[in-house]
Amino acid sequence: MTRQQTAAEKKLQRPPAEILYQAELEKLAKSDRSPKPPGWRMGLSAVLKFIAGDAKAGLSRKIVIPVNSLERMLVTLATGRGLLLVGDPGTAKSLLSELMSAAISGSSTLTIQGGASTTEDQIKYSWNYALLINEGPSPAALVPAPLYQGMREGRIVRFEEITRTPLEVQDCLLSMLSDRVMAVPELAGDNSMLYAAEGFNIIATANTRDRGVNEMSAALKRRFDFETVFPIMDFSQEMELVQEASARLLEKSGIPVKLPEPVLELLVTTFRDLRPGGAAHSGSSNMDSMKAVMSTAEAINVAHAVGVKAWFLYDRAGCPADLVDSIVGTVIKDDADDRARLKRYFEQKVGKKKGDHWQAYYQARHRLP
Amino acid sequence: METPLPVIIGIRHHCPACAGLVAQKIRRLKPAYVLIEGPADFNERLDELYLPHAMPIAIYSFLSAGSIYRASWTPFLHYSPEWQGLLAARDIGAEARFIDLPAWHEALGDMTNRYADKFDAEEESMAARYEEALCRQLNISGPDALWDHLFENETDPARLEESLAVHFDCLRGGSPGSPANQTREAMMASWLAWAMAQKRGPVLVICGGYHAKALRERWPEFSFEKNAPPPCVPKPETVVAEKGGEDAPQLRFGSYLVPYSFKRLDSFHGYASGMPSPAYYKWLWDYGLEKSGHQALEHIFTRLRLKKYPASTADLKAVHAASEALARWRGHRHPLRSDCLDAVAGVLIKNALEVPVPWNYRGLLLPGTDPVLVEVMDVMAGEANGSLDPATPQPPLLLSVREEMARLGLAESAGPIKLNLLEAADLKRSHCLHSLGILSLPGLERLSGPQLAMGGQKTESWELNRTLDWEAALIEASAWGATLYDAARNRIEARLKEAGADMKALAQILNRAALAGLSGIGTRTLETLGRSVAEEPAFESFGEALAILFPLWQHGADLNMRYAPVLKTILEAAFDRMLWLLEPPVSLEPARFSFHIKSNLELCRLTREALVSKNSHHLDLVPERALAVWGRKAADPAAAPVSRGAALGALLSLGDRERLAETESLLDSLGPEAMGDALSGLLALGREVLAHEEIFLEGLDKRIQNFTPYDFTLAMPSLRAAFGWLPSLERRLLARTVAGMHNGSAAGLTGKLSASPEAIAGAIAAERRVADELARWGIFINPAEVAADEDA
Repeated sequence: MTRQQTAAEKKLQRPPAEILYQAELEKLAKSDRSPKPPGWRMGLSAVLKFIAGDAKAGLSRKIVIPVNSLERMLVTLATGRGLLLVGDPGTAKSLLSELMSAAISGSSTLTIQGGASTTEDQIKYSWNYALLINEGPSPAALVPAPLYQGMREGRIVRFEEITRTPLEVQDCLLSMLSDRVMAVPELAGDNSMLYAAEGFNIIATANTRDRGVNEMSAALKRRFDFETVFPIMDFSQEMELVQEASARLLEKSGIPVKLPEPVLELLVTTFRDLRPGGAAHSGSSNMDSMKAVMSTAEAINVAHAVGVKAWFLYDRAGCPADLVDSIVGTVIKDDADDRARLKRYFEQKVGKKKGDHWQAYYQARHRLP
Repeated sequence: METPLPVIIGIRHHCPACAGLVAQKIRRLKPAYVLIEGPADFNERLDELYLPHAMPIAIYSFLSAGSIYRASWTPFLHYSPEWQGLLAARDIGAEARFIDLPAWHEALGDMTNRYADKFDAEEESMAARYEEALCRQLNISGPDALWDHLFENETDPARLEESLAVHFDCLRGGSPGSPANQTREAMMASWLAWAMAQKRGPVLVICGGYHAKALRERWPEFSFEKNAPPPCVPKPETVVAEKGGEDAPQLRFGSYLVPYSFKRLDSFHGYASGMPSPAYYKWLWDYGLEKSGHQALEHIFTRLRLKKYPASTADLKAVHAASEALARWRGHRHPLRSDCLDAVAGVLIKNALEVPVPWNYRGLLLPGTDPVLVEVMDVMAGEANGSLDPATPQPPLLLSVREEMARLGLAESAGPIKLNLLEAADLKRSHCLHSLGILSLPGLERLSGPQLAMGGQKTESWELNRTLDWEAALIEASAWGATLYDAARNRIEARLKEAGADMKALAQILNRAALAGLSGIGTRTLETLGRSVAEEPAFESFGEALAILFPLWQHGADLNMRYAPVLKTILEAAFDRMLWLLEPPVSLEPARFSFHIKSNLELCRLTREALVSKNSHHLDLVPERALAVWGRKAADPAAAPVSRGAALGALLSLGDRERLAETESLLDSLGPEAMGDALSGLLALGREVLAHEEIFLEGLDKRIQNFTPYDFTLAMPSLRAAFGWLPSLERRLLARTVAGMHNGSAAGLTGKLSASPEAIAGAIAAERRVADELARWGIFINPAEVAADEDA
């Protein structure tokens, strides 16, 4: 990923996408001649190129995702329907939502973070109580929350972890999604109804691990288009990503060596086999997969841990035995079932694979708790 | 005058765009010869194809010579370029010819569908890489979407022809092709050279795009005189003789027309068979680009509403809008297949998906696909079934069945047919009747006989009535094969595939196959079987299935099942899977105990076989793995007691006598009820060792003696169940030993009581009350000892 460091950005720990990729976005917005949906900064193809990358135009690929999935998402947003991204943790749903809103509306900061304590105030609007008491209800006293701002200015609103908010609070979105109007009964006249400007839309994300989408009300489900974000399907693509990301992290930690490729292969294969849905690859059923999240992000962390440990403790590049230790430490928190599953995986699947590195990996299994 | 060049149109099989191009080109060019990639041995019977059949139909070609068995289908749909080529050739009076090798040739060896998209392995990877790169460049997901975008969307025939040529040339690259492909291309090129040499007019060739470049380059290699006869089609006798010179037992070969169906053609149901979603492309062919999307959506929504999935008008509006939007954005004038499917996925799916959408990959639908998407793919695949015109010559199956029955003396029989399975001639008759049964022919009923192929009963009796629809049923069954046994075998293979991971069903199907004496199952089915067994989710399902299959493996020589590859595959996969499922501690309901124990028993048998057998047919198993798993299981306090007992019993019976101490500690560590369960496992698996082991019996006796009455009531049901695993003779011996420990006799245990049971129970209760009362005063007596003193 290209990093364009400005003076302002150097002070930010994690710049948002619209600052990080400012140059790319500006170039795209200027050069894009395709028709734009109402309220969008650039056309659909430009957004697609921004996210999926375009070697000719010098745009890096920000995320690994099948193209038609991305196309479905953008068409959903362009036709004015809400988008709900679901998937396992660590599949880059939030990153995707951030990139899309940065490209479409120019800002990704209109975000509502869902949680058990989210209230309607944090979604729609609240009041400056001092002004409210002093002068009575007035537009000046109203403190707009992200949804109000998005509707007023015609921008994309992001709702992270929508399924973690209480159901009653989720349902306050119903009228806004279908009628595109928010009622503010406290105010009078024109201000009592806020009509959404062109370009308003909502991108929500939900984890399938926590409450998931099962409890969402059917009425709310109907107003969203669902799109499942999968872990990277292709083995070589995931390998490439883990290799690149871990190399970058190791470099930042000041370690001159990279992880050898056999060790990376062991790591990525283990993660893919134990992931739910990895069933299709390895011939086990879904009950054989771990409760712990075996996402690509975790794999990168483990790779980093292996490299760090091997270098600082043993002065060498990582080896299969180090991998066993790190997997246990980083991934298997304290779930006894997960430990048993990992053990069973080693005993029964690892031993059967061909290759010296697999055999070394198998021999190191005594390091499992 | 320059030599004209032949017009070679490389096509993708069953592609409407190519079909339209071919038809148009033929009508415009009016060639003298239309040469089509298809089985050349069918050329004498081309007229059969022109009868008014209901599409889809296929040419079924086969060769069977003892152990060599080859078969392949050449399907034709309305919108197959080959079919349109045949029709157009007839319309303009051109000579149509098939020019590829016949199906029995080795070069087509493993191919069951001549018009499949699958190439040989290395070619496939090269072609796949090219398509992937193209997809990446054009930002399209999946090769089917790529094809639609590039070719179905193109309405200008000249541009279409050019794009097709360029695409196929790039797909082929510079590769010379596999030996099999080279042989086929040589044949086709020689036909082309012959047609050109006749100099009767333009020559047009319709072939798979992969071969187009090779044909173009190779046809000048062959030279023919002007009126020379066409290239000779190799005959099977020569082919088989080349293979080894042994005289093949009964060489049968031929081709004939069979009805086909959309379901078999769809790549999600059959083997990788080319263009997916036949029903969609039929709509595309019939209604054109403008209406095909509309038809697809209409059918999809009708089906979803029929199956009561939520599919409201608002949804229809949204799907319509999304499909149009996607189409416009992707540069399609009207929604194509991928646009419709993507729109449906976007709008109608209201859950997280577990596996990716089916049109992003090729092959069978993955388990866990969303049910709405399964229905959608089914609608797009369609349900049309072809049928043959009544004037079509009869397929050879009828003749084969008639001959076989006459040979075995089963022709017309009055009354039930009684067979003694121990006689060779009767056994053959039984096989024949079972094979007819597998083909589901009407009028055939087995009145009595063994349920299991390895069962003891050795007489069978059948009733055979020729009903009116006997012949019609045979004609339908001829789609499965040309001889009785080939057809039955194919049917078995299809049923095995359908059974999937259901172990019970698999065992029953193989049992039927054994009863019919059919053991040779094709390699591709074996692979899928192995994978299916690996997906079986319950350990307990294996017990009954393996109880049927393992004896067949070991002793089924009469049934041609001994050491059969199909059984080997299943047993090896089952061993693997059982160990995987056995390892984690799962809680068991009492109702499942006996299944669990049976599965352990079968696992033990397999392990013993692997440890002991030294013959060349041995199963490729690592018995140490089973021993390790059982060891871990026995030591795991979280495992179910019956599991632990079974594990220990298995280890004991396989010779690990040091486990006796562990057995003692296991039984000590469990409460009364659990002890009974563990004992079930121990006795069921390890009774040869334990039933005679004095120390064990003494320890068990002491423990049971130490039960309080309440504990005993708790433990009794499971204890009774445990001893139920001993056969009656052994139970008697055990009783004698135990009675001996108490200075009694076994006879005494079942002798008449001196008083009524209620009186004895009352007396025992009274003694206990006395003992308790004395205990309160500090005097401890054991009523049992007192009674023993009295007896003595």
